[in-house]
Amino acid sequence: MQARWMNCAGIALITLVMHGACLAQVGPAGQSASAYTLTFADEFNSSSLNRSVWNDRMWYESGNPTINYAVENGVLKIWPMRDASGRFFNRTLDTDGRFSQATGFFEIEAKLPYGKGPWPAFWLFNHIGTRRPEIDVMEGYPGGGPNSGWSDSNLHPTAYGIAVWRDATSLAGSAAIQTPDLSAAFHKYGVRWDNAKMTFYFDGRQVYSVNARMRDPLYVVLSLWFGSASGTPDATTPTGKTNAYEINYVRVWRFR
Amino acid sequence: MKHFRRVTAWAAPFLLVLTCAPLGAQERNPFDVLPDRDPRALQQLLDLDDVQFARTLQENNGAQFRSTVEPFDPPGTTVFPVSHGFAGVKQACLAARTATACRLYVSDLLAIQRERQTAAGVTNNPFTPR
Repeated sequence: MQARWMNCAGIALITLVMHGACLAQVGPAGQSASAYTLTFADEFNSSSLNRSVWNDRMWYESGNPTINYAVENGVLKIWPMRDASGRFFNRTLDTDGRFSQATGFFEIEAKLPYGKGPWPAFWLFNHIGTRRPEIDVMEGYPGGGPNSGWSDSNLHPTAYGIAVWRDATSLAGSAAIQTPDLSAAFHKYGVRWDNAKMTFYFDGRQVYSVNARMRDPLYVVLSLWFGSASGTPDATTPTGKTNAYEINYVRVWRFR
Repeated sequence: MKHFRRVTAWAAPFLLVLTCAPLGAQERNPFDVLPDRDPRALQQLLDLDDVQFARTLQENNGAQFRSTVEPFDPPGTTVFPVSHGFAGVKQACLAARTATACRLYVSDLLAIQRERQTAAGVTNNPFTPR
């Protein structure tokens, strides 16, 4: 019988992307490692993005041919960029069809871009017919500005959002987490997903929880879109690798 | 940010507990900013077969499609927070008019209207005229 928490590709993925047996001993930040078993990890230690693990577009779109992501020096970078037509475009890297899991602990370590328009995010998602359950573990809105509460006067992100969606238009809970400048250093963003409760962590410390029962396995999404509370990108928006959404690792565990 | 609950991440742990949202609290629906409309036009759009639906998306450079959906989601209306699930298909539909994204976008707009009817007890009322 197949376990509910992981699709059958999961075990193979650990072999593909995990570097070193010692990683299996690492637990989520602030948690006891003995309570968890690693089911997915990408440390981005290879020379390019592992395309057997990551798609570079949402399933409903063709994807922009302008490449604005790379793996360099152990970090995945996704940066704001204009395409051939001169427009800023969304980039999504996800494990749709490659890895998904229901319940457990999901964590990334990341540094966010700044400026007007970028909407970096780490979320869990699935599409089942028209249903689209979603857990937004981290969403940055650096373009919001000081009046919005999302960033400072230099449009450096000083807060991030969390949201749980039972479906695309059905919100179960949300929170805004006040932080130091999230573009200045790497931080850990995680969620412990229990059967009927989600608990969110920032650098290993609990910051928010919500009662919500979600049963569908969800895949991992790292995205750099534009808009929402970050506004519309313009000539002031810093582009290129020097203003990238940088992800040091993605790790997922199941409960032991 | 006014619709989010604020939590300060660097505060002492006891403060975090106090400022966390109460478990099970009712969340405001961010889609409440969208207008109430009779959803039959959306249902009719979804009832089209794939060929007809694709034709509607392309006719007059999408003008007919936009005139159907815009009353339900007027340009300039801000939904926040918004799910990536909704924002993504809306953006892909309006920018590229891909059929998959547009069907999901219309389906979402229909779900918003239906949920309001259900919340008001309309669809569960056996005396509602059909």
